Amino acid sequence: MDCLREIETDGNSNPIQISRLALDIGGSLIKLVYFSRDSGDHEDPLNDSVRISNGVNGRLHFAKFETTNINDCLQFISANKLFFGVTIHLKATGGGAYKFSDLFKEKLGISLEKEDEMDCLVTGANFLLKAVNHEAFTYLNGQKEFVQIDHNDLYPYLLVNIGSGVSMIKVDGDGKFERVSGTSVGGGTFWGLGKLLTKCQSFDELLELSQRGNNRVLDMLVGDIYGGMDYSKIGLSSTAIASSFGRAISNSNELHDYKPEDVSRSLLRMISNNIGQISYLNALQFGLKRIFFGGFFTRGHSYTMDTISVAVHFWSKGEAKAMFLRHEGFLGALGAFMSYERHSLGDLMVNQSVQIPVDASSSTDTNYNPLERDLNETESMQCSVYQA
Amino acid sequence: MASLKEDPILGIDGITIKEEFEIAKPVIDKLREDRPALETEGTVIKGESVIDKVIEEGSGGQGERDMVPPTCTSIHRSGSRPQLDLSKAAIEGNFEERDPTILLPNQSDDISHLALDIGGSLIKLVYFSRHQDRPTNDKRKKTVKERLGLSNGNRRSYPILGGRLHFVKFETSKINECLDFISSKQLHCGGVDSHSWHSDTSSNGNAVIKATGGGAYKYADLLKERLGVSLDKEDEMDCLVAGANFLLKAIRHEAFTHMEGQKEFVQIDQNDMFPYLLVNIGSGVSMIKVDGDGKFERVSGTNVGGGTYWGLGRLLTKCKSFDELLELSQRGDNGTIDMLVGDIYGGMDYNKIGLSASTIASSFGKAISEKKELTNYRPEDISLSLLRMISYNIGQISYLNALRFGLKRIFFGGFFIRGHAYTMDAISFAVHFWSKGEAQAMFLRHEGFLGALGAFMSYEKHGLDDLMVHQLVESYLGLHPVKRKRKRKRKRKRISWMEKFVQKGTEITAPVPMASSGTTGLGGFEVPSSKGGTLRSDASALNVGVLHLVPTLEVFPQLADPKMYEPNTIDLADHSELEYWFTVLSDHLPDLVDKAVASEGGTDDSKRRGDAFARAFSAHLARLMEEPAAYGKLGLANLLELREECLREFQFVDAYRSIKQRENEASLAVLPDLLVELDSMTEETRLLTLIEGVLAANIFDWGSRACVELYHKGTIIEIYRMSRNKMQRPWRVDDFDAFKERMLGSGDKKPCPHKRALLFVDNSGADVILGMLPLARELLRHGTEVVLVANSLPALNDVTAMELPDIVAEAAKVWPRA
Repeated sequence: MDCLREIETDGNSNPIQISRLALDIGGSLIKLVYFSRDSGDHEDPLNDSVRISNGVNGRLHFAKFETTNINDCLQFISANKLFFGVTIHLKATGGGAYKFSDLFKEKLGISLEKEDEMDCLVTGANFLLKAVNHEAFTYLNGQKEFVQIDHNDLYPYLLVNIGSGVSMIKVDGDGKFERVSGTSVGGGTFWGLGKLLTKCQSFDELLELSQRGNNRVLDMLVGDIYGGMDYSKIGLSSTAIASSFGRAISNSNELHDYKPEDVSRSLLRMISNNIGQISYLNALQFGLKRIFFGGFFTRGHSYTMDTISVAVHFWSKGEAKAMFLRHEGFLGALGAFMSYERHSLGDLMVNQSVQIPVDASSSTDTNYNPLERDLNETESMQCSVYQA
Repeated sequence: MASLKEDPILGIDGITIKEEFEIAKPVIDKLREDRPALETEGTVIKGESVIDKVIEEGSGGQGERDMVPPTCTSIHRSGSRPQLDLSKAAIEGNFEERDPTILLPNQSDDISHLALDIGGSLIKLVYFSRHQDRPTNDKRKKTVKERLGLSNGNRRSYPILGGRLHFVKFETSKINECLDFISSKQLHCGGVDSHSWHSDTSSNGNAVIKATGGGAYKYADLLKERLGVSLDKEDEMDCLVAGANFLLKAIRHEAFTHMEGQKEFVQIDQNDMFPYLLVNIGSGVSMIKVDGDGKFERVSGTNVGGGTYWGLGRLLTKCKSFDELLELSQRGDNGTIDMLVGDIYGGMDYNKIGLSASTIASSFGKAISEKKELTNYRPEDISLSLLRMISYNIGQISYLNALRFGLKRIFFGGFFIRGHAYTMDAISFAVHFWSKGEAQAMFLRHEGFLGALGAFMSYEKHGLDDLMVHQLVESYLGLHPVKRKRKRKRKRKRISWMEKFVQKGTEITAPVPMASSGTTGLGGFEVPSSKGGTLRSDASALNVGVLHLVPTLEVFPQLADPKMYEPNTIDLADHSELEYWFTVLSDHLPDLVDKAVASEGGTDDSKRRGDAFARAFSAHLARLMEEPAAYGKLGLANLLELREECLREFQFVDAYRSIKQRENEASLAVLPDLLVELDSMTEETRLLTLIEGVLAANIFDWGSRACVELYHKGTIIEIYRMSRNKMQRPWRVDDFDAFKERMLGSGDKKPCPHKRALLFVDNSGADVILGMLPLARELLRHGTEVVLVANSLPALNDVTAMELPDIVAEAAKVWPRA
């Protein structure tokens, strides 16, 4: 992962002092959130974890590794672990916090303090929605529109975290939530099936392909069944998908006869649409008008967001709205990060951190690779942390 | 009960006999009605000509009629018909108006022949065939008639009512096969005996067929061109709902739950059926909230359906058919490809939110993290992952929609399921899981044919309503196991002996000639609709039987406790019981085939059909052994009826014909002696002797080994007497004293004969001739009108309604005019 390089680079010229790091180790990806002080701040990093002076300016960094490449992650932490302090506990969430607990102990001598995954997701989402301007946005017909969040009228909402699988959480307030549903058809399904069907080497490559695909090749549309006609009586247009991959039935084409682009497109639509539908049905069940989508599946990918939005719009007949989060993939990691000394720190950060545009933040990273940045829009944000 | 004396293993069955008594009892009760005596003697013979009229429509009976032959009634205690085949309405009508509307003669004319549901993947056909008239080329019958000087041929037009609904499917991509099928069976012409249907379509030129599904639009021109028929397009959702409502109301044991491999039939309360959610899983999935007949709304759906399973499955596994793909899934392990909660949590559960380690966190999620390619995965595992993904997803979305509208019942239909246990389990699991046990997934046995049925029923709303009044009885044929050749290969080692056995039965099928031209229904073989079908439990092929439209099946209202009446005295849910009967029936099979072949004159053709019958029946048995609930709830009666149906399907109209004939002749020969003997008794002794005779004849007929021996040694009347002497009072149900008092009076009580008696007759030979007829005669003497009630269709050596008039006529000839 390129984060490593980034850190090293910084380390040469203007070392980032990581004073706080939290992990979210999921089925596919490891997400890291860590805090670094501004260069002007020269406090003793060793004491940092216990002593946060009043008024610490710094940045929150966001990084990710593939879970299969966990060793890269370990290396990264190892390279920076001096900064953490003597007794090393890292907050961690996600299934991997359990699964890899021994590995961290053995390789790094680090104990993972396990935080509940849902807790973290909700904490992370609440934090983002409250503390960061222009965090949430809608995406419909290619139009991205930021949503102003009214802090007093935020709850309840449905949080849909699309990781490898999908969790749907009804959030009623800080720390007040319930996981109401979920589906196993998520990002892992897209990437897993996509890998089998297209030989793509990465999730991003697969997503990329989908942008050039045409789902009509593989999907059975209403028009295919009705001979080009709509089934207007029940509100299905001829281009509505009647059956995803349904056309693969009726002709003699084999897998290699189909363009990977088309396969990827059909797959993406199937999964996005399905998530959108189930999310809406759950929102409906609890009377929730707002649905926020997070998790690494969307990756700011316009077509994915578009499809989810359309699904929510279609099934709710325009009543419900899909909203997306710019730090979509880091909800859990952020939540884990915030579980350090929740009482003193949490509230303050919520109110006083300042998000700065991604472009601005990258200016300090001289060797920063813009391509990488596109895939992970939010590398860091500037924060001010004060002690209560 | 039907005679099985050729098969001594069966022996006497106490339970069955009890059942006999239970049936007899209400008849006796019935005899208590007040009715002034009428003249008796001599009228019996006179009644004979009346009989014919009555048989024709039963219209003319007046006071002088002594014996009213059965009309359309039949008792199928040995059959699949779970109830007495007797119309309550008809009996009431009889009593008051002497207008036996039992036949409901006009109903079936309203039923048109063919309806189509042309979906994205499959074409579903439902068509109706009426029972043909009884064969009229029965030489013996003619001789009897000639002997009796019965010249009128009216009996031939005796309307055996009812018919069959057939269910057939084709792949939409092979629509031409479907058209050939329709064309070969002339289904588009309205069939042979659909007079009313013909009436508005005088020629093929402008025939109209009801059709639904998208293909009704897409292929309208093709059908016009190829068959010259116009498609009358019915709305798809309308049809689904109409079909589902119909099935739920009309078919017993249509709906069932399926959890963890356990199939359980659900009793549908017709008064508390609505609302429900109907989930039809075809290529795509429609979810419909149903509030009543014709009252519904499509509330949701998903594009992840059967087409997705088969489409993705085909791309991923190179399977050649949907069924093959389904079959693969049975041997799969989805843990190799799905990312489970345990995979993420290092084998631990995520208890806090109720996810066990084996819960799928991400379908196909494991394919991410490994270096493997598609070819490194077993197709079995892929198929299972896919199946679970889609089934769970459908279950979840269905539940969410049910929840939204407060619906507790969710019925799943559509061809995706195909009776596949794992699919149903997965859907049930999802519904159960998400609803925390509050909602229940139910499945329909005719799952794939909802739309086609609905289209079929849209022909004439009135005819439809009438249809609902009737009871549909399902039987097991029509989707012939013997026709389905297995095309694909299986891994050898996987084939169990049972599969081999079944396979054997399905492969070697001698082509059997179609029924003689001009007939439908009985006989007649359909072209297999789908090549992929197998006899396995996961295949849809046999999951659906032909539906028989049987006019008015009601439990006999005079039963002491009609609600408790259960014709299946032996429940085969117990596997050892099933195994026992399986063995008995299998052992008996060669003998039965011989009889059947002999009954048709032993021609080469009949031998071929005999072989085919044996294979078909064996295949059915094998399937039932594998999955007893395959055709609905299974009792012994169903099993026996299955055999009869099977015989008829292979055009053995009456395998016991010659045996019955022989028994009848033997009994008729001794009847005069018996009657003379009876007439010499005092009235009181005679009454007892007569009742004993009725009971004795029946027991004798069931035949213990001893009886069989006697049968070979003694004369028939000796056996009759011996068995009669074995009857010791009190009988299991013993109303004799009350009966006697009513018939003969006692003390200062005057005799009070019954107005009318229904005698339910059973076996040919001694039972009916030496047992029932003398009793009937006695009742007639007391001025009681007697109705003999018999089966409409042959079953073993049961006497049929068709045969009774001849038997009565013969008996009348030897009737001593005392």
